[in-house]
Amino acid sequence: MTRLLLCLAAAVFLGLAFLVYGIITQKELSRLEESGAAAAGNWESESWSDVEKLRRIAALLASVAENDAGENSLQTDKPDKADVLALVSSLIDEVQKRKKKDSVVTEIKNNIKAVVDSTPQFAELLQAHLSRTNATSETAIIEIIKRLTEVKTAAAQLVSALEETRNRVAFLQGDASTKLVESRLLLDGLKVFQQNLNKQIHSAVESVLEQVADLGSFVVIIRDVTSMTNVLAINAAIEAARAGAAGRGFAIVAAEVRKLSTQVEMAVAQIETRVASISRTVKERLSAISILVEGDDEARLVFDIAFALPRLSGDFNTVVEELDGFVKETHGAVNAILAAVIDSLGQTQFQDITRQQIEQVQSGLVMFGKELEDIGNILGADWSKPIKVKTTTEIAETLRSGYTMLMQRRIHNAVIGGSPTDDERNLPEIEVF
Amino acid sequence: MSKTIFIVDDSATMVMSVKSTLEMNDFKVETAGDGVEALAKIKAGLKPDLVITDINMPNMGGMELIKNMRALPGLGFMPILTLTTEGEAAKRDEAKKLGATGWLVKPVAGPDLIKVIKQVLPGS
Repeated sequence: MTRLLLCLAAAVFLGLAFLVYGIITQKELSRLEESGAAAAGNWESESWSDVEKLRRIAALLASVAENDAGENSLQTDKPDKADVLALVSSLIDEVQKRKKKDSVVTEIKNNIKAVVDSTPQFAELLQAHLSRTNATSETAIIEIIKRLTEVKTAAAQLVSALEETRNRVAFLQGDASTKLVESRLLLDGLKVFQQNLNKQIHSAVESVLEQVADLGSFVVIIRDVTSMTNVLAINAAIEAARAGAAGRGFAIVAAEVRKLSTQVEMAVAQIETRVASISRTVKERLSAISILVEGDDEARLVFDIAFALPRLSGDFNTVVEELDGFVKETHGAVNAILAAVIDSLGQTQFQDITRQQIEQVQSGLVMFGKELEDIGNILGADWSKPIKVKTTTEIAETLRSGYTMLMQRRIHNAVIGGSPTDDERNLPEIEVF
Repeated sequence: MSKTIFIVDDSATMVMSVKSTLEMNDFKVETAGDGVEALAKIKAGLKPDLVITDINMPNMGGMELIKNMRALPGLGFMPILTLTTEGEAAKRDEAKKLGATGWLVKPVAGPDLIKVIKQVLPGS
């Protein structure tokens, strides 16, 4: 932009310089005109060219010189007609050269004017390309920021889900641990109960066995009594026999007592057998009951554990379900993060597009700078040679040939003018042949 | 086994962007900066399953690369996608005539690129 301003300033300065030169040249001619104006009358009203005016001045000078020569023929230092004509002729040549230079100056001025006049439009074209580049970059950056915001949100959700799941797992773990402790206490309690019950059973069994044992001692006592009774009965029978007929009744009683004693002894034997049997049976039965009680305790234990297990299993199932839900949620969050990152990567392609846009603008500025350089060289060179400079409109058309993007052509048509060609129709951006 | 995709582009950011997208989708990626480098790698033994090439590149552009690759034995049916800023229909038609499989205009969103690749690359 600074370079452009300097070129414009140089063009304005050159224009002013040519204008001043033109004014000076005109003043010189006017001065020549005035020197012969008195004799020639009012030359301003005549439509003579500058050359024609000089010719007339020359004719006048010649006639003056002729008159002077006629009057003062002895003055040899005055210029004669031929000298005056030569002088005027050289003056005419000089003026002709200046006229030619004027023509060249006018052409240069016109060319510079054409360049200057077309420069604002060229600047507008470059500005439009740069604006578009800026818009492209801005749009892409905004999209990238949006995607990164989505990544941040998804990551935050993921962290939240992780914390929630951690808390939930901790709770379930605590709950399961509590249940396990409760089960352990239950087991311990039952064990104690079992031990106490066993003690009670054994104690009861011992008590019963003692009483049964006591029954045995009673049997012994009865047997002793029976034995003694039998002995007494025998003794009574002997005394009865000694007593003769008076002892006959006593002998019968003694015999009955002996029978009774024998029956009692038989009964005692049966009782003894029965007591032994009862004792054995009691022992066996009580032992069986004791085992049964113990077995029942274990069954209850198993029952309680089996009852507790589904609860524990249910808790662990809940944990598994929670973890499954967590994995699904994590998967979703990770997928969202992945998609946002891939989209952001796609947006970075804008850099390649803006690079090409800026390269075109750079190319335009280089060409413009070259043209100004050429103009500068022409101004410093021989102005008698024909010159040719490109206008910025022509430079813009050269730029058009280098465009690769449809967007560039559309900007060009909008600023410089032109209509879309067949090649600028809307083609699909993704096409599989 | 992962499919190998060969990216040819003179823009470093384009190569990085597309490479990252493809690797996130479990593709193996090889790269080259222009047609000359790409052709040299192919002739040295690289056997990609698919090529993605830019059009406007120094030394050798995409059009010439497509033409040269199709002339090599065994590469007559390899999918070749163009990924370019070019908007001229004439250039698109030329690419199609030379043997390109598809035409993509930058910028291309990642999911769209993957969709096209899966369309032209069997087994991906």
